[in-house]
Amino acid sequence: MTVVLDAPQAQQIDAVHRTGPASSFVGLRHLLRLALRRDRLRVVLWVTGLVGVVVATVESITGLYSTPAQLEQYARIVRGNTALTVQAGPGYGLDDPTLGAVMMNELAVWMVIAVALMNIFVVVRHTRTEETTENAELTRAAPVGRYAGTAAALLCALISTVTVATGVALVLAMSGLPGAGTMAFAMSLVGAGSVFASLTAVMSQIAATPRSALALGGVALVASFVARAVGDIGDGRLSWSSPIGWAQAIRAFADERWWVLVIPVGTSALLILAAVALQAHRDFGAGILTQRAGRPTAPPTLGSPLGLSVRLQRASIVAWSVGLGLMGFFYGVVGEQAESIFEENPELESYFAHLGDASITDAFLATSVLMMALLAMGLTVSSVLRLRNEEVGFRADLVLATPTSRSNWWSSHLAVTSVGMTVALASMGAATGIGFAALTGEEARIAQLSAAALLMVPAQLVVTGIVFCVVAWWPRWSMLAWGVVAAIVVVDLFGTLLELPQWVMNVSPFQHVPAVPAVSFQAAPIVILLACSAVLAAVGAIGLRRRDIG
Amino acid sequence: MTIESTREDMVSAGLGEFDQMSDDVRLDPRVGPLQVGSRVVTEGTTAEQPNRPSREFRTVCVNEALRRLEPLSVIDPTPDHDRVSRDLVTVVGRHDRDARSVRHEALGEDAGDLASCAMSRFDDNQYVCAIIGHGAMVHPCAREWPESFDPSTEDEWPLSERRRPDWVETSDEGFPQMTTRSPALARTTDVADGPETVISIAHLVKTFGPTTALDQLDLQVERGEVHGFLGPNGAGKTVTIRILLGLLRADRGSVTVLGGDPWTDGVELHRRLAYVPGDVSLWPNLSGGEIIDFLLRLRGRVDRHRRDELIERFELDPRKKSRTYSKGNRQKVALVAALASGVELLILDEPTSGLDPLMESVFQKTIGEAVERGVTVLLSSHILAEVETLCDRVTIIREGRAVRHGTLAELRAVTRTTVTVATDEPPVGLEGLKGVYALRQLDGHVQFEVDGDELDAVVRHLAPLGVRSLVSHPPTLEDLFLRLYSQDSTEVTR
Repeated sequence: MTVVLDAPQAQQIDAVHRTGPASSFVGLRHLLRLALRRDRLRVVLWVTGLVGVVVATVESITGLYSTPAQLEQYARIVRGNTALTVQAGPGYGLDDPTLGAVMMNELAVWMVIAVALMNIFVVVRHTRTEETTENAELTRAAPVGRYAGTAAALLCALISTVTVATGVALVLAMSGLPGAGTMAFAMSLVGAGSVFASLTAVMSQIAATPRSALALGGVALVASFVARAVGDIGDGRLSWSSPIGWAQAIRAFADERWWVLVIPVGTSALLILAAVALQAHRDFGAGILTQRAGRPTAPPTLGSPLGLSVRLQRASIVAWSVGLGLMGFFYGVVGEQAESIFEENPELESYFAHLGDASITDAFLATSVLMMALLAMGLTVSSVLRLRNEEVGFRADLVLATPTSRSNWWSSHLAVTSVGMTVALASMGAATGIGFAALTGEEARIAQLSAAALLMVPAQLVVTGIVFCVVAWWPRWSMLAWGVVAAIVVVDLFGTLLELPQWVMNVSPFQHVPAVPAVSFQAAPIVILLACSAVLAAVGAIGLRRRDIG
Repeated sequence: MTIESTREDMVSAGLGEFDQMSDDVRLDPRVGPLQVGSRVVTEGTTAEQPNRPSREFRTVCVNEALRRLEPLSVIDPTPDHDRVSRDLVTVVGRHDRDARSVRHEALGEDAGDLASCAMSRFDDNQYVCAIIGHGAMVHPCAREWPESFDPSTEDEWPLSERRRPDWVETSDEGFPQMTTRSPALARTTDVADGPETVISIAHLVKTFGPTTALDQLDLQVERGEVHGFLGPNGAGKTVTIRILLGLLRADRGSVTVLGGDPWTDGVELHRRLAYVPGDVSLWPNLSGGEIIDFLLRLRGRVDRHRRDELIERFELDPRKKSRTYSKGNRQKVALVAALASGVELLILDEPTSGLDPLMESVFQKTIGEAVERGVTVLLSSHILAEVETLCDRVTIIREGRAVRHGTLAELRAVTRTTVTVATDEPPVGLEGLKGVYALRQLDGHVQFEVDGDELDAVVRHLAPLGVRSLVSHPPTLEDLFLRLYSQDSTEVTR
């Protein structure tokens, strides 16, 4: 029996069977809508968070630097100051400082980094992570084009970035800053975001797992930061190799150079083509770096929950230790330069006055150690959240169905997290000291800065305790832990700038750590922090004992 | 008590016997069928390992020894002592006869080379050690006890580290390593003598917010049976199993597993049970072999021989990282880890849903072997063929309640036979008969379904009508389950 189709049906079938480039994107609209719908809460959180920070910063800066004299003073302190340049950028426009230029100096680098992180997370979530779960298989079996998934991920990232940029632009414009600079900054954010999104799309093709894709994206971000920092201190050439540098090079609020926008746009396009080419050669679900075979039997160390925790977390602990070590070395090297510049500029004393009677170098080193410890919270929090991942993935059931008590299970996991975080911080401190000592010969600094980094451990333990309590009492809200991290970062990085009241600042455990070497060591805050973390662990233990697993 | 004194006792009482026997004890690979007690056991050996007697034979010997002596302690390298491995099993019992006659009586005339007895004396009692080993050398005692240890008062004997002696050469070295069990534990945790009801659930209620997952569920699993746990998707099977494992806490009702409460005594109970989850997800970076070893070690004992054998039986490649496994292979990993652990209770949640038919039959065979050893199995499955082959009794759960339980035979009696009959005279009155359903006319025939217990009445009704042909389909389990699973509950309750 033959089937005779009438004309409209035949046309429809033709449309489906059509081959060629257009068919590779079939289903894009649906996938994009799916991605946006799934991420609506995350995008809203990112947008409100970033725009909120901008609002607060604008408020505060307009208050602090309302007169031209104050602007001049700021510019004098900041210009040519190596240490501040590392953190804030080359300070374009500070020759004739306007509010906009000051804004950029305070804000631009951090906003670019935040937007880059958001893009990395979004793209990995919708490409690599999709493939490792079965969701993507379901959609790919439907009439969906080969590249539609990646395209949807990139478009979703772009939409998020544009939303953030629009929000930021509105805030800046409403506070009276010039329109040209506002547009330039917003577009530079979009440019930087799309570079990182397309770079991550390439990483997703290469990496075998979502974790390694995220790790590669993180490495790229850190490398961009370091390249830009080195370039900004020096003659600026290295900054041209970094997407963060491109975002700065547009010189928002300081004689904007619009042609710079071509660079991120062009780079994004090239990277997207590379991602497409790689995807054409790759099996669905695999990375280009292939899997090695494993061992047929377990090593003697893999015989207890502790052994399992070590095995699962060791790769990320090593990676973070190496990464923080490299960053520490970099900061140590820069720290050597800080002293010489600062000595020429007596007004700097007031800038760091809140740290007390300390040398400028010490103050800089203490601040660097703090910043890297804040970064290390990424390791701490993601390690504790793995506990929840194990539970959600039903792997915890396998372990808890053996004669392993719940307290054994979680305490061995947290023990490994704590030790790993300590190792990472120690490596960071030692590397900072080594970098500094390499240029100045002050070998005592190695021990001193290692100790400074280790003093951050109790604060990290408090953060561990907080996240553990969230996992134990409100497991479905585990992602809130990252909100806690964001709050602590904002308080510690922007607290003085936003003129937050002291009681708000005290929420962050890092505020209570004595900022060695700028401040002398005090035991009391450390003991209190350790006591707090013990209490938090006990509270978490109770919560985890009484609730259902899974 | 130290080992030295025990050995002296043994020497004075009968260890000399050992020394003699150890010289001439050889395992005769040609030992043929053996009568031990009332069972005839065929000796089986493999060509590569002619000195190893069959597991079955040694199991029988051990069981006989347990039966005839009054066992005080079983010193067993693998605590599941009726599954004998390459190491020694030593049964220490009390008997007032001399060693040789005990041996012969307990173990049979021809058991000779495989087993030996020695007498020992302490506490003014005669103790007999029946040692069943694999022949070349037998030594009764562990090498080291800690000094402070007093076996008569301790509940748990110390575990010496596991070493595998080279059996053929050693004489004084190379003691078998033993996990220990105190006499008290030996009696209560013996697989053959444990509590009759392994799992007991009464009026269990579990809610998740507004949803009621379990609504007054009742379930009993007896020792040594394979209990099927069936029901449509979302009926509450996995929730029940997770409550049995202590992962979820019951809201109301009582749950007892192996005599204990799974929520409070979980860790102790988990030593004696193994679990295979429904949707197995593993740690992606670990290989299958590593995961199996890890889970076995967590449970406390790794029988390498059994693990390797099961891996080979299930045709699993243990070197691949679990990220690369298909769903069926992941299930095999979990199955091997559970089946190799030698526990007395297996809780299996759809263990074969991803396995091919060959592996399904391997699974059934392995479960059969486990059952013969006295293991209890709670099996949740959708595969009706598997249920029919393996399960002794079945509980069917729907919407959180048990709607049916009983043996398969009992359940079959509840289902209906489909009868197609052609009669000389028109079959009037059939509709009115009790137990007759779905009456329909086909050309010349009448077809209907009849309840098992009304079959007799229906046949009597039909007989005077002049039956020309009668075809009946026996009740299939599938009919039963489909009917019980479906929404139409009114028919079910009859």
